[in-house]
Amino acid sequence: MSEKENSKSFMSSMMSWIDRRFPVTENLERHLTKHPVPKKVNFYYLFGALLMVVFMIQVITGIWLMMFYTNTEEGAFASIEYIMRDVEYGWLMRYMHSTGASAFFFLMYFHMFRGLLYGSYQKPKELVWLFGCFLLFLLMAEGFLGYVLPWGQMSYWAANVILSLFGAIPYIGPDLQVWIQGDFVLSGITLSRFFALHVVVVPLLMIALVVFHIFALHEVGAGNPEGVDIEKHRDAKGMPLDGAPFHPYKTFSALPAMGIFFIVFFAIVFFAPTGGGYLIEKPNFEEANFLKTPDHIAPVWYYAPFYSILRAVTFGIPFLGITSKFLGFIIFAASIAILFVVPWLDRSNVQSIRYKGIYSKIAMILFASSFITLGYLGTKPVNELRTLIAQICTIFYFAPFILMPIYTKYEKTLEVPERL
Amino acid sequence: MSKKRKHIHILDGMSLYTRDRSPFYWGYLNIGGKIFKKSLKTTDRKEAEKLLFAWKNEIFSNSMNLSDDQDHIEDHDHSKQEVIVDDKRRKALLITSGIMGAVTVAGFAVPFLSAWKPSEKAKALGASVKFDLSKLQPGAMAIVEWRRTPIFVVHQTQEAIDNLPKLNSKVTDQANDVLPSSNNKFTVLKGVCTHLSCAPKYHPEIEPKAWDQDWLGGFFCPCHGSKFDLAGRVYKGVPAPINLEIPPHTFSGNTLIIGESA
Repeated sequence: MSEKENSKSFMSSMMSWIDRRFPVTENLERHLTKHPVPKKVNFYYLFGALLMVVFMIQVITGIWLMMFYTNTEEGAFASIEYIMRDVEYGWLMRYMHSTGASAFFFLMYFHMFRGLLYGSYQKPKELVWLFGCFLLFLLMAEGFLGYVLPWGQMSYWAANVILSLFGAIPYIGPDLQVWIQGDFVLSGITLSRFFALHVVVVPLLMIALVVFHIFALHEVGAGNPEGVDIEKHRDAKGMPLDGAPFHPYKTFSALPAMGIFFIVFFAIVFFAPTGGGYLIEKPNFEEANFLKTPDHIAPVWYYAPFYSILRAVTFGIPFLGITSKFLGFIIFAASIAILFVVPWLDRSNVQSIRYKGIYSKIAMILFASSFITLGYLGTKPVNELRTLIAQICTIFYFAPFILMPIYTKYEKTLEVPERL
Repeated sequence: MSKKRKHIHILDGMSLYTRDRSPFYWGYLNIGGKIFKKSLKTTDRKEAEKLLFAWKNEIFSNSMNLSDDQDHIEDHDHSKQEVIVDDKRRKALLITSGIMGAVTVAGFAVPFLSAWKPSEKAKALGASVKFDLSKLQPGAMAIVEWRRTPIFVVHQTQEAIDNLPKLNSKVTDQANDVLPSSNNKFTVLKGVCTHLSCAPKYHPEIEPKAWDQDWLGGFFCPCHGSKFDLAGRVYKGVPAPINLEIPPHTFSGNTLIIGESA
C-alpha cells in the first residue's frame, strides 16, 4: 500500500470521526459542493458573492481601524489624522473602509434591483427577500453611525439633521432625541455610543441576518433570469437537469468577477478615495464645529435618493398635528418599508421581467430612473424646480409598488419555458 | 465490577444499576413515567446493556429492525406510550413562567435603557444659565452660551419697539407684533438661523443696507441672506422658513435665567 493511500484513509477516517460529532461534510455538500444552482444566469447574479467579499473587507479593515481610533469628542478627529499620517498603511485601511461602504451600497442596490427584475422575492422566496431588506436597513444604519465617527463637520451636521428627524415625532420626539443623543445636543456622549453600535451591535445583527439570508436561500433554491423552476426536471440522482453544483461551477465563475471588482475598487482607493466629494465629503476634512454649519449639507451619494424624498415633502398635515418635517420622515421611512411588502404586492403568475407584461416593464424603468434622479437631486442644494422634480420622482418611486397588485394581476404575460 | 453502588445512565429512561452485594446488573426502564426493574442475571456490562435494550424492545413489542444498532432504538414508537398530560396545568405554568420571564427581561432592560439618558455630568452642563441684565445698555446685545448654542439677549430701545408694527407687512408671522419673548424690554433668541443653522449678525442700526433699503434694525444671516427683525420674526422671501427660535427662559428681577420656562 502506498503512502498516499494511507494518508487518504487517515484523512477520511478523521473526517468521519468529525462528521459524527459535527456535520462538516454534510453542510459543505449542502451549502457548497453539491448545492444546485441554475446553470444559466447573468451578471446580476454575481452581486451576492461580491457583497460577501465587501462585508469581509469591512470587518477586517474595521477591526484594524478600531485599534487606532479614539471614540471621544476631543480625540476622534485627531485619531483619524493619526491613522492617515502616522500609522503605516493606516490610509489604506481607512480608504478601503470608506470605499468599501460605497461599494457595499452600490452592490446592494444592484443586488436588490436584480431581485425586483427577476422576481427573486416571489413565493417561496419571501423570507430570503425579507432578510435582505432587513440587511439594507441595517446597512443604512451602519453607514450612518460610521459616518459620524470621524467627527468632521459633515459627520456632525448630517447627524444633526438625521437626529432632528426623531425630534420631529409628535409628543415623544424631543425626549426621544435627547435619549438617543444622551445629551441635549449632539456631543461626545453620542459619539461613543454610536461607536459601540457601529462596531458591535449592528455588525453582529448583520452577520446573523446574512446567515439567515443564505440558509433561507439554500432551502428554497436560487432563481434565474428566466424564472424557470429548475427543481421540476431532475436526473436519476436527483440533481436538477438545469442545475450545476455551486462549487466549482459558480465559485470559479465568481472569481473573474471578483478580479474586475477589485480592479475598480482599488482604482478608487488609490486614485480617487474621496470620489470628488461624493464618497467622503469635503467639509469632513474639518473638525466638527458646533457653531458653524457647512454652507450646504449633502448626504453621501448612497443616501441621496432617500434624502431627496425626505426633502421633497414640503407640506405637513396641520389638522393632524403633523409637521412637514415629520411627514417627510414618514415618507422617507415608507420608501424603505415598502420594499418589505413587495412579495405580497406582486400578483403576477410569472417571476421574471422577461415574461411579464408591458406595465411591469414600464414600472421598473420608472422606478429605476426616479431612483437615479432622486439620487442626483439629493446631492444638490434645493430650489423650487428641483423640489418639484423631486416630488414627481417621489411619486414615481412609490407608484410602481402601490399599483403593483393591479397591473401584475391584469397584464398579459408570456409563457415561461419548461427548461432553462 | 464496581465495588460501589451506582446508576449507569444509558439513554433517556434507561439505566443500569449495580451494587457490591449483588454480582448482577439490574436494568431500570422508565416508560411513560412507569418504572420497570429486573435483574439482568449477568455480570458483564456490555451483555447487560444488550439485555436492557432487548428487554425494552420486548416491552414495546416492536420487533422491527431492533438489533444492537442503537440508532434505531431511539426511533421507538411513541404512540404506544401512555402519556397523561394535564393540559390545564401546563397552560397555567406556561403563562405564569412567560409573564415572569417578561417581567424579568423588562426589569433588566431598565438599567440598560436608562444608561442612555443624559448623565449627571451632561445634565450639569446642560443646566440653566444666569445672566445679569443690569449692565446691558439699551440697543446692545449680549451673546450667552447655553447648551452649546449662542443665545442672543437684546436690550431693545423704545424706538425699536415702536418700529416693530411697521414691519408687519414684511414678515411671515404677522400676528406677532409685540416682542415675543420678553418682559417688554429684553428679547431672548437662539442665535441660530432657522435655515441652515448659521449665525445671524446683529444689525440694530436704522439705515439703508445692501440687503434692504428700508432696514429698521434686525438680524441678517450672511450665509444665505435670511432677514429677521429685532423681535426675531423672519422676513418674507428669504430662505429661512420660520422665526428665530426662543429658548425657554424666565426673568427674576435683573437676572435672566435661560433654560427654565416661566
